[in-house]
Amino acid sequence: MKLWYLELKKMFFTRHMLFLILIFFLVNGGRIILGSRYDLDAIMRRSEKKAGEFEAYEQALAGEMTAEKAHKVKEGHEAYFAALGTGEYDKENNYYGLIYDLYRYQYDYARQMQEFTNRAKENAELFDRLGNRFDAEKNRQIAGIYENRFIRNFYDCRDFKFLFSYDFSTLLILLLALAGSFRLFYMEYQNGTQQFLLTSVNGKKYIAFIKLGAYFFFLFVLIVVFSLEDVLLHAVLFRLNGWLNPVYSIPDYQFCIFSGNMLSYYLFLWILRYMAILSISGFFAFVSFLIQHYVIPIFFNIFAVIFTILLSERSSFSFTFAMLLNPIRLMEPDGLARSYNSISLFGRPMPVLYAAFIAQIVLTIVFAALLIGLYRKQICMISGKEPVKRRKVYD
Amino acid sequence: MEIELKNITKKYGANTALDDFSAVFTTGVYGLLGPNGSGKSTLINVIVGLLKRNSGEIFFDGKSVSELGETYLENIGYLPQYPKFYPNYTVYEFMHYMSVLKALDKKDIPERIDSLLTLVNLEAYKDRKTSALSGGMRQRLGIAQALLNNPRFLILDEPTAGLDPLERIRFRNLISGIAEERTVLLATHIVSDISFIANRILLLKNGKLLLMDKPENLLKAMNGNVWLLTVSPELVMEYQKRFQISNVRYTEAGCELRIVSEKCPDVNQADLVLPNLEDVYLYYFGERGAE
Repeated sequence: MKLWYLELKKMFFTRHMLFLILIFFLVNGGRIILGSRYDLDAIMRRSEKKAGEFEAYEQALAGEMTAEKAHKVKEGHEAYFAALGTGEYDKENNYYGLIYDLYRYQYDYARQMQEFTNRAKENAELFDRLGNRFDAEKNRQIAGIYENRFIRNFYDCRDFKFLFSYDFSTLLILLLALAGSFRLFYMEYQNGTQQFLLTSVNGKKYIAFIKLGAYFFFLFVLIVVFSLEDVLLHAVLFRLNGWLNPVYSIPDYQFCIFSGNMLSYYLFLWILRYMAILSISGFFAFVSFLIQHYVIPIFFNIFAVIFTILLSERSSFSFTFAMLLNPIRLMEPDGLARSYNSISLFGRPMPVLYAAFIAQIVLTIVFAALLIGLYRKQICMISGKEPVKRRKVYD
Repeated sequence: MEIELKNITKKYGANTALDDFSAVFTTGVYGLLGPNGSGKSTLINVIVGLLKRNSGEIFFDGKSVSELGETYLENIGYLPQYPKFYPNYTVYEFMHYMSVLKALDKKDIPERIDSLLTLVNLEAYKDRKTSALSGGMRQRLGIAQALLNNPRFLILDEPTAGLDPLERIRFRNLISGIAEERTVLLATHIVSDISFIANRILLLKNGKLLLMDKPENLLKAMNGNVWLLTVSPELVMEYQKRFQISNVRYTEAGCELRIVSEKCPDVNQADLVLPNLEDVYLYYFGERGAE
């Protein structure tokens, strides 16, 4: 048995924690199923898909886009509009009428982006001539990101946006992370088991590192569990199709700075969220260690949760250095990834999303290093107190 | 092996818990006796490094423990007072966890755990959750974990607290068995815990070391100070006010009082008897009578 596994079992495989995870898992599922955050079109699409209304036409149109298919969609769209006046309803034309804009967007995407990148390159040249190195570099970066993009296959991917922008599970994971941070040092101290740790070689030297590692792994497991729940429920509810299509197949993601497919974009979002959660959790672990001698961590955690919720409710953030250091912003990475936003770092433009990601990695390392360093020196030990209060708080 | 504590002082604010404590420990069992609040746990916490001392130094085989660092920890085994375990661990998992914490060689761990669980008679319970162990079993598990690294200096803080007499005897025998080649420091306020097994006894009062000597010497020094006197029951209260009484026994002839006093309580009736360690404890830590 490895130490980190034993640490993981000790801290998190407890009845209380498993019960809490189960409750949160159910709450998250309920939120997805009953959620009222979908627009009217999405609700209609969901019921149409459920009824299998347009299944045959969808299957016929799905896959590689051809001029023939495009022509058929155009004809269907025209017939649909004509029928609106006469009242003659044709299911196939109705379908083509509804997806016309989407098909046209996907069919034309490569051409539009080529025009866009050409303009960016022209801008870069102009700024070079004007001696504005920052904007020249920024436009070159834009051209680099959006160049050579194309969509080969047509799928109605619009409902993927609900999966990508869904962040309630992140908040639940954060709450579990807070509950977990409480178990790292405070409970060892209150339970009296800290004495075993501090009077053994590895207990004094490595245990803070191992605890933090186990904690971060626990968060990773939570992310896997909740992300799977999110993806499965969304996939079933919206019958998501086109997982391997590029993420910019969704009109709202036309300028998404990530060029991979739906699946990889979803993983990418979770990596960013994981980093944000690690950064916040690292901070809470650090503070919990510092004030482990008191009941304060309980109040602190409650305060932290309220603060986090309030902060996450803020809809607009300016792109400043302070924003990079705010992990809450990275907990909603979809908003940052949908379009190109840059920040000046040492006079050079850098996409905000990547800058925030790096900032959170640095913050996590700083908190971890502080925690491990202070633990080894037992800085939080307060003279004038018995080293251990004995109160049974482990379940 | 030799552990020397030199002029150790530990203060909690204005309160001095350990006052210039000095002692040298070699192989054998050392009983640390003192009433509650005398500084036993503070001393132990300072020795194992849980508390920082205000002044003084600890030497292990002549080397300062501040310089030895981890090497010192490798040589000590510690059983805290009222040890608590992780409730969702089995006995084996807890031992394994402690083995890794104590940096035991990975390949030696299973064998070491098995032999120690056999030693403390817990081999049949290795898959039982620690939360389901009785008080005696928990203490034995505490001892087993303290022995994992085969320590040369074993420190036990109130190891028999809460145990029934049978468990206490079992525990005592276990300590005797493992003390042959190491130093065992056993802190307690229960005299019978150490009366049979301690090679030396330290008496601690208000953070100060009163005495450190062999039990026989302590007893010898008490010779002539313990009396047995039978009085009528109505006189018991009066004698309790005047003398330190270590035992009261009601017999057909009246009340038999065991009195600790330098002076003979009654020239005509009192018999001089041999002292035991409880008399010693009472002599040093009990409230003095008027005489």
